[in-house]
Amino acid sequence: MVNLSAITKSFDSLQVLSGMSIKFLPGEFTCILGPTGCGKTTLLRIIAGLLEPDSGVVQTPSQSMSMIFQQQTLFPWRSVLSNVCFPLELSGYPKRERVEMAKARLSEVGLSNVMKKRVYELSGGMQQRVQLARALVSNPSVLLADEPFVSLDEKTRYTLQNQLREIADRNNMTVVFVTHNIEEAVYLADRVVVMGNKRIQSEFVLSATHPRDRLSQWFLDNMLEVRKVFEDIVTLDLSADETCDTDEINDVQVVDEDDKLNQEGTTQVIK
Amino acid sequence: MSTDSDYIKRNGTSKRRETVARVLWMVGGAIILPAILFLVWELAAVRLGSNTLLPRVGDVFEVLANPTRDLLGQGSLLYHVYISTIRVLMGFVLGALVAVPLGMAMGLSERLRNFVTPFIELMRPLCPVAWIPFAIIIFGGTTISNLFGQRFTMTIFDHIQTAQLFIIAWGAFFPVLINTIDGVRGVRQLWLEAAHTMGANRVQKWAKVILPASFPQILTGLKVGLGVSWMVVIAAELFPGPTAGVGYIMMEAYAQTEIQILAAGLITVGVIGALLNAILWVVHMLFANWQAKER
Repeated sequence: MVNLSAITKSFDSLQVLSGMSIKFLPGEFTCILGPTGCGKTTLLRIIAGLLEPDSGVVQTPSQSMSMIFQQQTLFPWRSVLSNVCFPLELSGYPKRERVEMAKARLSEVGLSNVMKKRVYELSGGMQQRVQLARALVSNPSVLLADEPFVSLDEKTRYTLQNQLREIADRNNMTVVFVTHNIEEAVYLADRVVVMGNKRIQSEFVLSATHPRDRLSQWFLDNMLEVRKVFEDIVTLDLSADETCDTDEINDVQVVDEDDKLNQEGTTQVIK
Repeated sequence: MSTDSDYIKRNGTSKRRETVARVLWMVGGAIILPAILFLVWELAAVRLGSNTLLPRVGDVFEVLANPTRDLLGQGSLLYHVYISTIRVLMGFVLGALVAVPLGMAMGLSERLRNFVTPFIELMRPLCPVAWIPFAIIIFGGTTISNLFGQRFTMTIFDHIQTAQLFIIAWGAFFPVLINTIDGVRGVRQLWLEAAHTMGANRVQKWAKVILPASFPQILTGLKVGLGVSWMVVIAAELFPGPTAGVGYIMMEAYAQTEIQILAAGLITVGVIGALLNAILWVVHMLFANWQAKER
Protein backbone atom coordinates (compact mmCIF):
# COMPACT_ATOMS: atom_id res chain seq x y z
CA MET A 1 0.00 0.00 0.00
CA VAL A 2 1.10 3.57 -0.64
CA ASN A 3 -0.09 6.06 1.93
CA LEU A 4 0.23 9.84 1.78
CA SER A 5 -0.86 11.90 4.74
CA ALA A 6 -1.31 15.69 4.84
CA ILE A 7 1.20 16.34 2.05
CA THR A 8 2.06 19.95 1.35
CA LYS A 9 4.48 21.16 -1.26
CA SER A 10 5.44 24.58 -2.58
CA PHE A 11 7.91 25.75 -5.20
CA ASP A 12 9.17 29.18 -4.14
CA SER A 13 5.97 31.09 -3.44
CA LEU A 14 3.69 28.82 -5.46
CA GLN A 15 1.88 26.21 -3.40
CA VAL A 16 1.21 23.10 -5.47
CA LEU A 17 -0.15 20.64 -2.92
CA SER A 18 -2.05 21.57 0.20
CA GLY A 19 -2.67 19.03 2.94
CA MET A 20 -3.32 16.14 0.54
CA SER A 21 -4.05 12.70 1.95
CA ILE A 22 -4.58 9.59 -0.18
CA LYS A 23 -4.09 5.84 -0.04
CA PHE A 24 -3.38 3.49 -2.91
CA LEU A 25 -4.41 -0.05 -2.08
CA PRO A 26 -2.54 -3.19 -3.20
CA GLY A 27 -3.61 -4.31 -6.66
CA GLU A 28 -5.55 -1.12 -7.31
CA PHE A 29 -5.21 0.80 -10.58
CA THR A 30 -5.69 4.49 -9.82
CA CYS A 31 -5.71 7.26 -12.39
CA ILE A 32 -4.98 10.75 -11.17
CA LEU A 33 -6.70 13.20 -13.43
CA GLY A 34 -6.40 16.94 -13.47
CA PRO A 35 -5.54 19.94 -15.59
CA THR A 36 -1.94 20.83 -16.30
CA GLY A 37 -0.30 22.48 -13.33
CA CYS A 38 -2.58 21.05 -10.68
CA GLY A 39 0.16 19.03 -8.95
CA LYS A 40 -0.32 15.50 -10.32
CA THR A 41 3.29 15.08 -11.44
CA THR A 42 4.52 16.65 -8.20
CA LEU A 43 2.46 14.12 -6.26
CA LEU A 44 3.89 11.27 -8.29
CA ARG A 45 7.45 12.49 -7.84
CA ILE A 46 6.92 12.69 -4.10
CA ILE A 47 5.73 9.08 -4.04
CA ALA A 48 8.75 8.06 -6.16
CA GLY A 49 11.12 9.78 -3.73
CA LEU A 50 12.34 12.28 -6.32
CA LEU A 51 10.92 15.17 -4.31
CA GLU A 52 10.48 15.67 -0.60
CA PRO A 53 7.24 17.21 0.69
CA ASP A 54 7.41 20.35 2.79
CA SER A 55 5.27 18.56 5.38
CA GLY A 56 3.30 15.36 5.74
CA VAL A 57 4.11 11.67 5.73
CA VAL A 58 4.77 9.37 2.78
CA GLN A 59 4.63 5.61 3.29
CA THR A 60 5.71 3.40 0.42
CA PRO A 61 6.26 -0.35 0.35
CA SER A 62 9.70 -1.76 0.98
CA GLN A 63 9.35 -3.94 -2.13
CA SER A 64 10.27 -2.59 -5.52
CA MET A 65 8.70 0.45 -7.05
CA SER A 66 9.06 1.45 -10.67
CA MET A 67 8.25 4.53 -12.71
CA ILE A 68 7.52 5.34 -16.34
CA PHE A 69 8.24 8.93 -17.27
CA GLN A 70 6.49 11.10 -19.81
CA GLN A 71 9.83 11.92 -21.44
CA GLN A 72 12.10 9.28 -22.83
CA THR A 73 14.59 8.11 -20.19
CA LEU A 74 16.24 5.15 -21.89
CA PHE A 75 20.04 5.09 -21.79
CA PRO A 76 21.39 5.69 -25.32
CA TRP A 77 24.70 3.95 -24.63
CA ARG A 78 22.92 0.67 -24.03
CA SER A 79 21.02 -1.55 -26.43
CA VAL A 80 17.29 -2.14 -26.03
CA LEU A 81 17.86 -5.47 -24.27
CA SER A 82 20.52 -3.97 -22.01
CA ASN A 83 18.16 -1.12 -21.06
CA VAL A 84 15.47 -3.56 -20.02
CA CYS A 85 18.03 -5.61 -18.06
CA PHE A 86 19.09 -2.51 -16.11
CA PRO A 87 16.75 -2.79 -13.09
CA LEU A 88 17.65 -6.46 -12.76
CA GLU A 89 21.37 -5.61 -12.81
CA LEU A 90 20.79 -3.24 -9.92
CA SER A 91 19.08 -6.01 -7.98
CA GLY A 92 21.93 -8.43 -8.60
CA TYR A 93 20.19 -10.97 -10.83
CA PRO A 94 22.60 -13.33 -12.64
CA LYS A 95 23.18 -12.45 -16.28
CA ARG A 96 21.39 -15.40 -17.82
CA GLU A 97 18.29 -14.89 -15.69
CA ARG A 98 18.05 -11.17 -16.35
CA VAL A 99 18.44 -11.63 -20.09
CA GLU A 100 15.64 -14.22 -20.09
CA MET A 101 13.35 -11.99 -18.05
CA ALA A 102 14.11 -8.98 -20.25
CA LYS A 103 13.46 -10.95 -23.42
CA ALA A 104 10.14 -12.12 -22.04
CA ARG A 105 9.03 -8.56 -21.25
CA LEU A 106 10.13 -7.29 -24.66
CA SER A 107 8.21 -10.10 -26.27
CA GLU A 108 5.09 -9.06 -24.32
CA VAL A 109 5.29 -5.53 -25.73
CA GLY A 110 6.02 -6.83 -29.23
CA LEU A 111 9.67 -5.80 -29.49
CA SER A 112 11.50 -9.13 -29.75
CA ASN A 113 12.98 -8.12 -33.10
CA VAL A 114 14.76 -4.95 -31.92
CA MET A 115 16.65 -6.20 -28.88
CA LYS A 116 20.08 -5.44 -30.24
CA LYS A 117 19.17 -2.03 -31.59
CA ARG A 118 20.12 1.23 -29.94
CA VAL A 119 17.53 3.61 -28.57
CA TYR A 120 18.08 6.22 -31.28
CA GLU A 121 17.17 3.67 -33.92
CA LEU A 122 13.64 3.31 -32.56
CA SER A 123 10.53 5.37 -33.16
CA GLY A 124 8.89 7.28 -30.29
CA GLY A 125 6.25 4.62 -29.83
CA MET A 126 8.82 1.84 -29.71
CA GLN A 127 10.89 3.77 -27.19
CA GLN A 128 7.88 4.13 -24.94
CA ARG A 129 7.21 0.38 -25.21
CA VAL A 130 10.80 -0.31 -24.18
CA GLN A 131 10.30 2.02 -21.21
CA LEU A 132 7.20 0.07 -20.28
CA ALA A 133 9.08 -3.22 -20.54
CA ARG A 134 11.90 -1.84 -18.40
CA ALA A 135 9.50 -0.57 -15.76
CA LEU A 136 7.76 -3.93 -15.54
CA VAL A 137 10.68 -6.33 -15.86
CA SER A 138 11.38 -6.51 -12.13
CA ASN A 139 7.69 -7.19 -11.36
CA PRO A 140 7.37 -4.14 -9.13
CA SER A 141 4.69 -4.09 -6.48
CA VAL A 142 4.01 -0.41 -7.27
CA LEU A 143 4.14 1.16 -10.72
CA LEU A 144 4.07 4.94 -11.11
CA ALA A 145 3.29 6.31 -14.56
CA ASP A 146 3.48 9.97 -15.50
CA GLU A 147 1.43 10.44 -18.69
CA PRO A 148 3.48 7.73 -20.41
CA PHE A 149 1.34 7.51 -23.53
CA VAL A 150 0.68 11.20 -24.14
CA SER A 151 2.91 11.50 -27.21
CA LEU A 152 1.74 8.31 -28.91
CA ASP A 153 -0.70 7.81 -31.73
CA GLU A 154 -4.12 6.47 -30.86
CA LYS A 155 -3.57 2.90 -32.04
CA THR A 156 -0.27 2.48 -30.19
CA ARG A 157 -1.76 4.12 -27.11
CA TYR A 158 -4.74 1.72 -27.04
CA THR A 159 -2.41 -1.28 -27.49
CA LEU A 160 -0.14 -0.21 -24.65
CA GLN A 161 -3.07 0.63 -22.38
CA ASN A 162 -4.38 -2.93 -22.80
CA GLN A 163 -0.93 -4.44 -22.26
CA LEU A 164 -0.33 -2.37 -19.15
CA ARG A 165 -3.69 -3.23 -17.67
CA GLU A 166 -3.25 -6.91 -18.42
CA ILE A 167 0.22 -7.05 -16.84
CA ALA A 168 -0.92 -5.05 -13.81
CA ASP A 169 -3.87 -7.39 -13.23
CA ARG A 170 -1.78 -10.52 -13.67
CA ASN A 171 0.81 -9.35 -11.13
CA ASN A 172 -1.63 -7.70 -8.70
CA MET A 173 0.32 -4.47 -9.15
CA THR A 174 -0.59 -1.18 -7.51
CA VAL A 175 -0.59 1.37 -10.30
CA VAL A 176 -0.70 5.14 -9.92
CA PHE A 177 -1.27 6.55 -13.40
CA VAL A 178 -1.22 10.29 -13.99
CA THR A 179 -3.09 11.60 -17.01
CA HIS A 180 -5.05 14.58 -18.24
CA ASN A 181 -6.97 12.39 -20.68
CA ILE A 182 -10.44 11.60 -19.30
CA GLU A 183 -11.06 8.77 -21.74
CA GLU A 184 -7.77 7.12 -20.78
CA ALA A 185 -8.60 7.43 -17.09
CA VAL A 186 -12.07 5.90 -17.44
CA TYR A 187 -10.74 3.11 -19.65
CA LEU A 188 -7.92 2.06 -17.35
CA ALA A 189 -8.81 2.85 -13.78
CA ASP A 190 -10.46 1.07 -10.89
CA ARG A 191 -10.51 4.49 -9.28
CA VAL A 192 -10.26 7.95 -10.81
CA VAL A 193 -9.01 10.71 -8.52
CA VAL A 194 -9.68 14.20 -9.81
CA MET A 195 -7.22 16.81 -8.59
CA GLY A 196 -7.49 20.54 -8.67
CA ASN A 197 -6.77 23.61 -6.62
CA LYS A 198 -3.90 21.85 -4.80
CA ARG A 199 -5.98 18.97 -3.45
CA ILE A 200 -8.24 16.06 -4.32
CA GLN A 201 -11.60 17.32 -5.49
CA SER A 202 -13.40 14.11 -6.27
CA GLU A 203 -13.01 10.36 -6.59
CA PHE A 204 -14.81 7.86 -8.80
CA VAL A 205 -14.76 4.11 -8.27
CA LEU A 206 -15.22 2.27 -11.58
CA SER A 207 -16.03 -1.37 -11.09
CA ALA A 208 -16.51 -2.65 -14.65
CA THR A 209 -14.21 -5.42 -15.87
CA HIS A 210 -11.44 -5.06 -18.41
CA PRO A 211 -11.09 -4.64 -21.32
CA ARG A 212 -13.77 -1.95 -21.42
CA ASP A 213 -15.80 -1.03 -24.47
CA ARG A 214 -15.21 2.60 -25.35
CA LEU A 215 -18.43 2.76 -27.31
CA SER A 216 -20.66 1.34 -24.59
CA GLN A 217 -23.24 3.48 -22.81
CA TRP A 218 -21.55 2.73 -19.52
CA PHE A 219 -18.30 4.17 -20.79
CA LEU A 220 -19.86 7.28 -22.24
CA ASP A 221 -21.91 7.94 -19.07
CA ASN A 222 -18.85 7.63 -16.86
CA MET A 223 -16.84 9.90 -19.10
CA LEU A 224 -19.57 12.49 -18.86
CA GLU A 225 -19.67 12.29 -15.06
CA VAL A 226 -15.94 12.65 -14.76
CA ARG A 227 -15.87 15.40 -17.37
CA LYS A 228 -18.43 17.45 -15.42
CA VAL A 229 -16.23 17.38 -12.34
CA PHE A 230 -13.13 18.01 -14.44
CA GLU A 231 -14.65 21.09 -16.02
CA ASP A 232 -15.67 22.41 -12.61
CA ILE A 233 -12.08 21.95 -11.48
CA VAL A 234 -10.75 23.97 -14.38
CA THR A 235 -13.21 26.76 -13.71
CA LEU A 236 -12.32 26.70 -10.03
CA ASP A 237 -8.62 26.87 -10.81
CA LEU A 238 -9.12 29.85 -13.10
CA SER A 239 -11.21 31.70 -10.57
CA ALA A 240 -8.56 31.12 -7.88
CA ASP A 241 -6.09 32.90 -10.18
CA GLU A 242 -3.74 29.90 -10.17
CA THR A 243 -1.52 29.02 -13.07
CA CYS A 244 -3.56 26.80 -15.36
CA ASP A 245 -3.07 25.56 -18.87
CA THR A 246 -5.75 27.39 -20.82
CA ASP A 247 -5.73 24.64 -23.47
CA GLU A 248 -7.73 22.60 -21.00
CA ILE A 249 -10.74 24.93 -21.14
CA ASN A 250 -11.37 24.76 -24.85
CA ASP A 251 -14.21 22.28 -24.46
CA VAL A 252 -15.49 23.38 -21.06
CA GLN A 253 -19.23 23.83 -20.79
CA VAL A 254 -20.84 26.46 -18.59
CA VAL A 255 -20.66 25.34 -14.98
CA ASP A 256 -23.86 23.65 -13.87
CA GLU A 257 -25.55 25.69 -11.17
CA ASP A 258 -26.36 22.43 -9.44
CA ASP A 259 -22.75 22.23 -8.34
CA LYS A 260 -21.88 18.80 -7.00
CA LEU A 261 -18.39 19.82 -6.00
CA ASN A 262 -17.40 18.92 -2.45
CA GLN A 263 -14.29 20.79 -1.23
CA GLU A 264 -13.40 17.93 1.13
CA GLY A 265 -13.44 15.37 -1.70
CA THR A 266 -16.11 12.79 -2.49
CA THR A 267 -16.24 9.18 -3.43
CA GLN A 268 -18.89 8.51 -6.02
CA VAL A 269 -19.58 4.97 -7.11
CA ILE A 270 -20.53 4.60 -10.73
CA LYS A 271 -21.47 1.24 -12.13
CA MET B 1 1.53 27.58 -63.96
CA SER B 2 4.17 25.80 -61.82
CA THR B 3 7.60 25.03 -63.20
CA ASP B 4 10.50 22.83 -62.15
CA SER B 5 12.02 25.76 -60.26
CA ASP B 6 9.01 25.71 -57.89
CA TYR B 7 10.12 22.36 -56.54
CA ILE B 8 13.12 21.16 -54.57
CA LYS B 9 14.35 17.79 -55.80
CA ARG B 10 15.97 15.40 -53.36
CA ASN B 11 17.44 12.14 -54.55
CA GLY B 12 17.56 9.26 -52.16
CA THR B 13 21.00 7.81 -51.43
CA SER B 14 21.80 4.46 -49.94
CA LYS B 15 23.66 4.21 -46.64
CA ARG B 16 26.40 2.23 -48.34
CA ARG B 17 26.96 4.93 -50.94
CA GLU B 18 27.14 7.56 -48.21
CA THR B 19 29.73 5.54 -46.27
CA VAL B 20 31.85 5.01 -49.37
CA ALA B 21 31.65 8.72 -50.18
CA ARG B 22 32.67 9.63 -46.63
CA VAL B 23 35.69 7.30 -46.69
CA LEU B 24 36.75 8.56 -50.11
CA TRP B 25 36.64 12.17 -48.90
CA MET B 26 38.79 11.28 -45.86
CA VAL B 27 41.30 9.26 -47.82
CA GLY B 28 41.34 11.86 -50.55
CA GLY B 29 42.03 14.58 -48.04
CA ALA B 30 44.80 12.54 -46.45
CA ILE B 31 46.47 12.02 -49.83
CA ILE B 32 45.67 15.06 -51.94
CA LEU B 33 46.41 17.83 -49.47
CA PRO B 34 49.84 16.44 -48.39
CA ALA B 35 50.63 15.77 -52.05
CA ILE B 36 49.99 19.42 -52.87
CA LEU B 37 52.13 20.47 -49.91
CA PHE B 38 55.04 18.24 -51.01
CA LEU B 39 54.78 19.51 -54.57
CA VAL B 40 54.99 23.12 -53.45
CA TRP B 41 57.86 22.21 -51.10
CA GLU B 42 59.83 20.47 -53.87
CA LEU B 43 59.37 23.38 -56.23
CA ALA B 44 60.54 25.83 -53.56
CA ALA B 45 63.56 23.61 -52.68
CA VAL B 46 64.60 23.38 -56.33
CA ARG B 47 64.24 27.14 -56.70
CA LEU B 48 66.28 27.88 -53.55
CA GLY B 49 68.92 25.29 -54.47
CA SER B 50 70.29 25.03 -50.90
CA ASN B 51 69.94 21.91 -48.77
CA THR B 52 70.78 23.84 -45.60
CA LEU B 53 67.85 26.20 -46.19
CA LEU B 54 65.23 23.79 -47.53
CA PRO B 55 66.05 20.13 -48.27
CA ARG B 56 64.58 18.30 -51.28
CA VAL B 57 61.53 16.15 -50.59
CA GLY B 58 63.43 13.09 -51.82
CA ASP B 59 66.20 13.59 -49.22
CA VAL B 60 63.66 13.84 -46.42
CA PHE B 61 61.80 10.75 -47.55
CA GLU B 62 65.11 8.91 -47.73
CA VAL B 63 65.49 9.46 -43.97
CA LEU B 64 61.88 8.43 -43.33
CA ALA B 65 62.18 5.34 -45.51
CA ASN B 66 65.11 4.07 -43.37
CA PRO B 67 63.85 4.52 -39.83
CA THR B 68 66.30 2.01 -38.36
CA ARG B 69 69.37 3.71 -39.79
CA ASP B 70 71.61 5.49 -37.27
CA LEU B 71 71.28 9.27 -37.32
CA LEU B 72 74.30 11.42 -36.39
CA GLY B 73 75.66 8.59 -34.22
CA GLN B 74 72.76 9.12 -31.82
CA GLY B 75 70.52 6.18 -32.63
CA SER B 76 67.87 5.58 -35.27
CA LEU B 77 64.72 7.63 -35.93
CA LEU B 78 62.65 4.69 -34.72
CA TYR B 79 64.54 4.62 -31.43
CA HIS B 80 63.96 8.32 -30.82
CA VAL B 81 60.27 8.00 -31.73
CA TYR B 82 60.04 5.12 -29.24
CA ILE B 83 61.58 7.22 -26.45
CA SER B 84 59.33 10.21 -27.13
CA THR B 85 56.22 8.04 -27.31
CA ILE B 86 56.98 6.38 -23.98
CA ARG B 87 57.52 9.82 -22.40
CA VAL B 88 54.21 11.07 -23.80
CA LEU B 89 52.25 8.03 -22.72
CA MET B 90 53.67 8.05 -19.20
CA GLY B 91 53.18 11.79 -18.72
CA PHE B 92 49.73 11.72 -20.28
CA VAL B 93 48.56 8.81 -18.15
CA LEU B 94 49.91 10.55 -15.05
CA GLY B 95 48.03 13.75 -15.88
CA ALA B 96 44.83 11.89 -16.79
CA LEU B 97 44.97 9.72 -13.65
CA VAL B 98 44.79 12.89 -11.55
CA ALA B 99 42.45 14.87 -13.81
CA VAL B 100 39.68 12.31 -14.37
CA PRO B 101 38.93 11.47 -10.70
CA LEU B 102 39.30 15.13 -9.68
CA GLY B 103 37.06 16.20 -12.58
CA MET B 104 34.44 13.63 -11.58
CA ALA B 105 34.51 14.81 -7.97
CA MET B 106 34.27 18.46 -9.01
CA GLY B 107 31.46 17.64 -11.43
CA LEU B 108 29.46 15.95 -8.69
CA SER B 109 30.15 18.34 -5.85
CA GLU B 110 29.25 22.01 -6.18
CA ARG B 111 31.08 22.76 -2.94
CA LEU B 112 34.31 21.19 -4.14
CA ARG B 113 33.93 22.86 -7.51
CA ASN B 114 33.53 26.30 -5.91
CA PHE B 115 36.52 25.62 -3.66
CA VAL B 116 38.98 24.38 -6.29
CA THR B 117 37.96 26.30 -9.43
CA PRO B 118 39.60 29.65 -8.56
CA PHE B 119 42.95 27.89 -8.07
CA ILE B 120 42.53 25.90 -11.29
CA GLU B 121 41.71 29.05 -13.26
CA LEU B 122 44.87 30.71 -11.89
CA MET B 123 47.04 27.78 -12.93
CA ARG B 124 45.40 26.94 -16.26
CA PRO B 125 46.81 29.86 -18.31
CA LEU B 126 50.39 28.87 -17.38
CA CYS B 127 51.67 27.33 -20.59
CA PRO B 128 53.38 23.93 -20.02
CA VAL B 129 56.45 25.01 -22.00
CA ALA B 130 56.89 27.95 -19.61
CA TRP B 131 57.32 25.43 -16.81
CA ILE B 132 60.35 23.79 -18.44
CA PRO B 133 63.10 25.89 -16.80
CA PHE B 134 61.31 25.69 -13.45
CA ALA B 135 60.90 21.92 -13.79
CA ILE B 136 64.57 21.48 -14.62
CA ILE B 137 65.51 23.45 -11.51
CA ILE B 138 63.14 21.48 -9.24
CA PHE B 139 63.59 17.99 -10.68
CA GLY B 140 67.06 18.37 -12.16
CA GLY B 141 68.08 15.42 -14.31
CA THR B 142 66.37 12.81 -12.12
CA THR B 143 65.10 9.90 -14.17
CA ILE B 144 62.62 7.17 -13.38
CA SER B 145 65.55 4.81 -12.89
CA ASN B 146 66.98 7.17 -10.25
CA LEU B 147 63.64 7.23 -8.46
CA PHE B 148 62.96 3.51 -8.41
CA GLY B 149 66.50 2.22 -8.12
CA GLN B 150 68.67 -0.55 -9.50
CA ARG B 151 65.86 -2.58 -11.00
CA PHE B 152 65.11 0.03 -13.67
CA THR B 153 68.64 0.99 -14.73
CA MET B 154 69.89 0.06 -18.21
CA THR B 155 66.28 0.21 -19.40
CA ILE B 156 64.28 2.80 -21.25
CA PHE B 157 63.53 4.44 -17.91
CA ASP B 158 67.07 5.83 -17.95
CA HIS B 159 65.77 8.26 -20.60
CA ILE B 160 62.52 9.26 -18.87
CA GLN B 161 63.28 12.38 -16.88
CA THR B 162 60.85 13.33 -14.12
CA ALA B 163 60.99 16.98 -15.22
CA GLN B 164 59.63 16.03 -18.64
CA LEU B 165 56.95 13.82 -17.09
CA PHE B 166 55.84 16.73 -14.94
CA ILE B 167 55.56 19.08 -17.92
CA ILE B 168 53.73 16.54 -20.09
CA ALA B 169 51.36 15.68 -17.24
CA TRP B 170 50.73 19.40 -16.68
CA GLY B 171 49.91 19.85 -20.35
CA ALA B 172 47.45 16.94 -20.36
CA PHE B 173 45.86 17.74 -17.02
CA PHE B 174 43.75 20.81 -17.77
CA PRO B 175 41.90 19.77 -20.95
CA VAL B 176 41.11 16.40 -19.36
CA LEU B 177 39.94 18.05 -16.12
CA ILE B 178 37.70 20.67 -17.74
CA ASN B 179 36.08 18.19 -20.13
CA THR B 180 35.52 15.67 -17.33
CA ILE B 181 33.80 18.30 -15.19
CA ASP B 182 31.61 19.36 -18.10
CA GLY B 183 30.84 15.78 -19.00
CA VAL B 184 29.68 14.93 -15.49
CA ARG B 185 27.65 18.12 -15.13
CA GLY B 186 26.05 17.52 -18.50
CA VAL B 187 24.55 14.16 -17.51
CA ARG B 188 20.79 14.42 -17.92
CA GLN B 189 18.90 14.69 -14.65
CA LEU B 190 16.17 12.46 -16.15
CA TRP B 191 18.58 9.55 -16.48
CA LEU B 192 19.57 9.87 -12.84
CA GLU B 193 15.93 10.10 -11.78
CA ALA B 194 15.07 7.02 -13.81
CA ALA B 195 17.95 5.13 -12.18
CA HIS B 196 16.77 6.34 -8.76
CA THR B 197 13.26 5.02 -9.32
CA MET B 198 14.72 1.68 -10.34
CA GLY B 199 16.47 1.44 -7.00
CA ALA B 200 20.02 2.50 -7.87
CA ASN B 201 22.20 3.56 -4.95
CA ARG B 202 24.84 6.30 -5.25
CA VAL B 203 27.63 3.99 -6.38
CA GLN B 204 25.39 2.35 -8.98
CA LYS B 205 24.26 5.74 -10.27
CA TRP B 206 27.89 6.78 -10.64
CA ALA B 207 29.09 3.54 -12.26
CA LYS B 208 26.11 2.77 -14.48
CA VAL B 209 24.81 6.22 -15.42
CA ILE B 210 27.23 9.08 -14.74
CA LEU B 211 30.36 7.32 -15.98
CA PRO B 212 28.97 6.05 -19.31
CA ALA B 213 26.95 9.22 -19.92
CA SER B 214 29.96 11.48 -19.40
CA PHE B 215 32.40 9.23 -21.25
CA PRO B 216 32.15 10.96 -24.67
CA GLN B 217 33.07 14.29 -23.11
CA ILE B 218 35.87 12.72 -21.06
CA LEU B 219 37.18 11.13 -24.23
CA THR B 220 37.20 14.52 -25.93
CA GLY B 221 39.32 15.81 -23.07
CA LEU B 222 41.68 12.84 -23.41
CA LYS B 223 42.04 13.49 -27.14
CA VAL B 224 42.89 17.15 -26.58
CA GLY B 225 45.17 16.26 -23.67
CA LEU B 226 47.05 13.69 -25.72
CA GLY B 227 47.59 16.22 -28.48
CA VAL B 228 48.91 18.78 -26.01
CA SER B 229 51.18 16.12 -24.44
CA TRP B 230 52.71 15.32 -27.78
CA MET B 231 53.33 19.00 -28.55
CA VAL B 232 54.84 19.54 -25.12
CA VAL B 233 57.23 16.57 -25.26
CA ILE B 234 58.83 17.82 -28.45
CA ALA B 235 59.30 21.25 -26.88
CA ALA B 236 60.68 19.70 -23.70
CA GLU B 237 63.20 17.65 -25.68
CA LEU B 238 64.52 20.76 -27.41
CA PHE B 239 65.86 22.04 -24.10
CA PRO B 240 69.17 20.83 -22.61
CA GLY B 241 68.91 17.64 -20.59
CA PRO B 242 67.49 14.80 -22.63
CA THR B 243 69.80 12.64 -24.73
CA ALA B 244 67.13 10.95 -26.81
CA GLY B 245 63.76 11.67 -28.35
CA VAL B 246 62.43 13.20 -31.54
CA GLY B 247 62.83 16.77 -30.27
CA TYR B 248 66.40 16.02 -29.19
CA ILE B 249 67.42 14.56 -32.57
CA MET B 250 65.78 17.49 -34.35
CA MET B 251 67.87 19.89 -32.26
CA GLU B 252 71.04 17.87 -32.99
CA ALA B 253 70.22 17.88 -36.71
CA TYR B 254 69.80 21.66 -36.61
CA ALA B 255 73.15 22.07 -34.81
CA GLN B 256 74.86 19.95 -37.50
CA THR B 257 72.85 21.54 -40.36
CA GLU B 258 71.38 18.19 -41.36
CA ILE B 259 68.10 19.89 -42.22
CA GLN B 260 66.62 16.83 -43.98
CA ILE B 261 66.74 15.02 -40.60
CA LEU B 262 65.08 18.05 -38.96
CA ALA B 263 62.33 18.00 -41.57
CA ALA B 264 61.93 14.21 -41.25
CA GLY B 265 61.55 14.72 -37.51
CA LEU B 266 58.80 17.30 -38.10
CA ILE B 267 56.87 14.97 -40.38
CA THR B 268 57.30 12.12 -37.89
CA VAL B 269 55.87 14.31 -35.10
CA GLY B 270 52.80 15.01 -37.21
CA VAL B 271 52.28 11.40 -38.23
CA ILE B 272 52.69 10.02 -34.68
CA GLY B 273 50.31 12.66 -33.33
CA ALA B 274 47.73 11.68 -35.96
CA LEU B 275 48.18 7.97 -35.17
CA LEU B 276 47.67 8.52 -31.44
CA ASN B 277 44.57 10.55 -32.22
CA ALA B 278 43.32 7.80 -34.54
CA ILE B 279 43.53 5.28 -31.69
CA LEU B 280 41.31 7.46 -29.54
CA TRP B 281 39.00 8.02 -32.51
CA VAL B 282 38.51 4.25 -32.78
CA VAL B 283 37.75 4.12 -29.04
CA HIS B 284 35.23 6.91 -29.59
CA MET B 285 33.53 5.10 -32.47
CA LEU B 286 33.31 1.90 -30.42
CA PHE B 287 32.10 3.33 -27.11
CA ALA B 288 30.94 6.91 -27.50
CA ASN B 289 29.40 7.27 -30.94
CA TRP B 290 25.90 7.08 -29.44
CA GLN B 291 26.13 10.71 -28.42
CA ALA B 292 26.29 11.99 -31.99
CA LYS B 293 23.35 9.84 -33.02
CA GLU B 294 21.10 10.64 -30.09
CA ARG B 295 18.03 12.73 -30.96
